[in-house]
Amino acid sequence: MTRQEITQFYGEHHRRLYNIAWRILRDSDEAEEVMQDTILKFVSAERDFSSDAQVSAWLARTCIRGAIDTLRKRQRRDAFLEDYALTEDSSSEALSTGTEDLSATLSGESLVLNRVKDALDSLPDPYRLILNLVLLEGLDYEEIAALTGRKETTLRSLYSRGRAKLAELLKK
Amino acid sequence: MIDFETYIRAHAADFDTQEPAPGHEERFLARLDVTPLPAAAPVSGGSPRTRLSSFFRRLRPADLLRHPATWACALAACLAVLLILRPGDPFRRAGNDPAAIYLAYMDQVAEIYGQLPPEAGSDRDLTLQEMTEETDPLFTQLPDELSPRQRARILKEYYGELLAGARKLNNY
Repeated sequence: MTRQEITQFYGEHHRRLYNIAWRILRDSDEAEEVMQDTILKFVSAERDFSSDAQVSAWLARTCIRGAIDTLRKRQRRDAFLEDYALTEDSSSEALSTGTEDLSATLSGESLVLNRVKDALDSLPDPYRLILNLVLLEGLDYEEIAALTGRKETTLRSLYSRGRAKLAELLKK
Repeated sequence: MIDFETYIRAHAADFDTQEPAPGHEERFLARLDVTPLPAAAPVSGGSPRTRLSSFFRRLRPADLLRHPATWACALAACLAVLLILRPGDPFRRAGNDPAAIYLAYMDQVAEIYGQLPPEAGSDRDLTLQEMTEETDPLFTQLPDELSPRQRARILKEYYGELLAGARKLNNY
């Protein structure tokens, strides 16, 4: 790939990869680093893919793996509970209506989207990660187990608890 | 009523709303400049691996086994492995990170479910579920004024007790 082709490739993929990393890390600098690492990893080796879909899938998985590695390395135990306490307070205020009347009380699609996003973001790390990977990235438990090193049964259980927690947040 | 799982899956692309900080392209190009690309990858000559392997070829295992220092090193290595791996401690890899402690606990719970005797009835399954599931996991509820070490200790003791109880139930 020439420099120009790489720049174009970066333009096409950076936003999606940045968002994948950001949802896992919730840190702009770290998400940018993981996103750029992923693209550099792709362009710095000869890779043979037969379709754009394969390229996108490779990029997404590499990015997720990078973000999970970063999450593990990060020494954020002090910030974790404080962070969670703060976001929980703010999300509780934002999510003042229940799931049942989600569509009835909110006029615009973007409001619904923001509410679901806020609720997802306010979940504790393990729940947020599993819900993001299953619902937004479309991975199955086997793939997530390979990426995270967790057992599938643990992941299923985490998903079910995270789902219940999210439903509870959306009901508030 | 909106099914939020279906909603999130259907609007996955709309969740990509974050943008990297300004200047990300320039930072990427700067990193690209120092990344070796496939065409520029040099072919190395005498690699460190070759030098190392010739060093090990000169070592004779019989001589090494006769040396007391070899045995002392082996013993020290075994002790170090025992100290680091702490076999039997389910939280050994979690450090003081509350989320990691919770995940380690969930892994153990999944393992205990897997060990349920096949003849055990649904009552046993239900009891196990009630023993190990928390409506609001403790790791999200500990007060902020506690230090990370104190939180970790409380969580490890609490989840350790739950696991011990669940294992006892399995053994009856």
